[in-house]
Amino acid sequence: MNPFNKLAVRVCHENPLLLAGLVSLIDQAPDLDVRAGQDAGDEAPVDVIVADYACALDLLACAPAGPRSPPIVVVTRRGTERDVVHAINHGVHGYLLQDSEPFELIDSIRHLARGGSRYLCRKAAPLLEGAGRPELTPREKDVLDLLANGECNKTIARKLDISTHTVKAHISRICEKLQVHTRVQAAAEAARRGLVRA
Amino acid sequence: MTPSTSSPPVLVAVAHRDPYVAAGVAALLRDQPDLALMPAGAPDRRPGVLVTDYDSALQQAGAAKAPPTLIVTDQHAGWQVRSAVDAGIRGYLLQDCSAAELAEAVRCVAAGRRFLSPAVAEQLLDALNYDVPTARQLQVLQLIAQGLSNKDISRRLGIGERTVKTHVKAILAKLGERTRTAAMAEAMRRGILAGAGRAAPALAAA
Repeated sequence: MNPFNKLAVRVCHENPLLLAGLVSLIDQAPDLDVRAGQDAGDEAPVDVIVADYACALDLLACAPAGPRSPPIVVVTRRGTERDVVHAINHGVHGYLLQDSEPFELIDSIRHLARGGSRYLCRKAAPLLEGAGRPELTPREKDVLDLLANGECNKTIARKLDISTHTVKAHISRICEKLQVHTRVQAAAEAARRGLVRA
Repeated sequence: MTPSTSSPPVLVAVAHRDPYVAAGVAALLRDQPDLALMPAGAPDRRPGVLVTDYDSALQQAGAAKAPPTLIVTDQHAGWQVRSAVDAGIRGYLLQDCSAAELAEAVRCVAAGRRFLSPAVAEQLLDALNYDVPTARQLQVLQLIAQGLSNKDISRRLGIGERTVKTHVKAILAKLGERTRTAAMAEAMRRGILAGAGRAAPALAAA
């Protein structure tokens, strides 16, 4: 990286409002050179990309993160543990919630451009700490979705075509993994951590 | 709508809790010749429109000299919209709006009219059918959502367990559900309870 050159930053955000806000804030930093919108394919590579959640994952799906590809910072209002873990696992380097401070935006860009491995805003950092907890199996997720929707064991059994005994076994495993004691607590914890569809 | 060149520009104050949104609103409105951003630190002048976030808007809504307010937010569950409109908010815009929509909303509110994003208007109409929970029922609902049993709720609120049961029954009836978990899910859909990863909605208007 040439110390005499500014860092090049591209901002891709689906909301015109957020796009304009991010661009104007980045533009105020003297060492950053900001471009708005998707790369048409013929432009010089940038040092860091700032993107919304969906756009970041699209970019990574097209071109998986490698040593040559620019690091990506997500700016999003998606603030559950599942969201953060999912993005980081897919190769996102920076994660900022939409209500984080402007200095965190600028810090994250500089940190990642210097080769830093990861940057999480103050509010997102604790969400990643919970990532080591045991994951639910796909079947347990099915059960949890129905449970959180207020279905009783009998209905869950019928909808998933399993016995009520199996449903009960799944629910006790789910409660164990979520470290709660009752099904209502499981539903509350699942909503808090973003494990079920809202 | 073509802005008139003769009248002085509408003074717009931007005070949004999310710095990125605040910067975006300011950046998008800067290009509008008929709108002028109020410089920071000019508290003696009353703006024609205040652009702000949901919580701040509802906190200030009661004040006598509150300027016409436009909310810019990502929260648009029926109950939240209804609380805002009840509190006297004139404009309600979602964050995924275009630059043109934002300018239009500011002009509408400045002219004394209302502006709601189409999705917001739809939610508001849905909310007209909702039975409004009482303040006490809301408290109980919030404790249910934390997974507390009736006994725990009665201890927490210092009321009898029978009373809690009565409240729970009334809550289930108002939400049209049969179980506590189903009631929680419905309350989140309506915006009475905060959903995943969201701050609790302001319920002062209840």
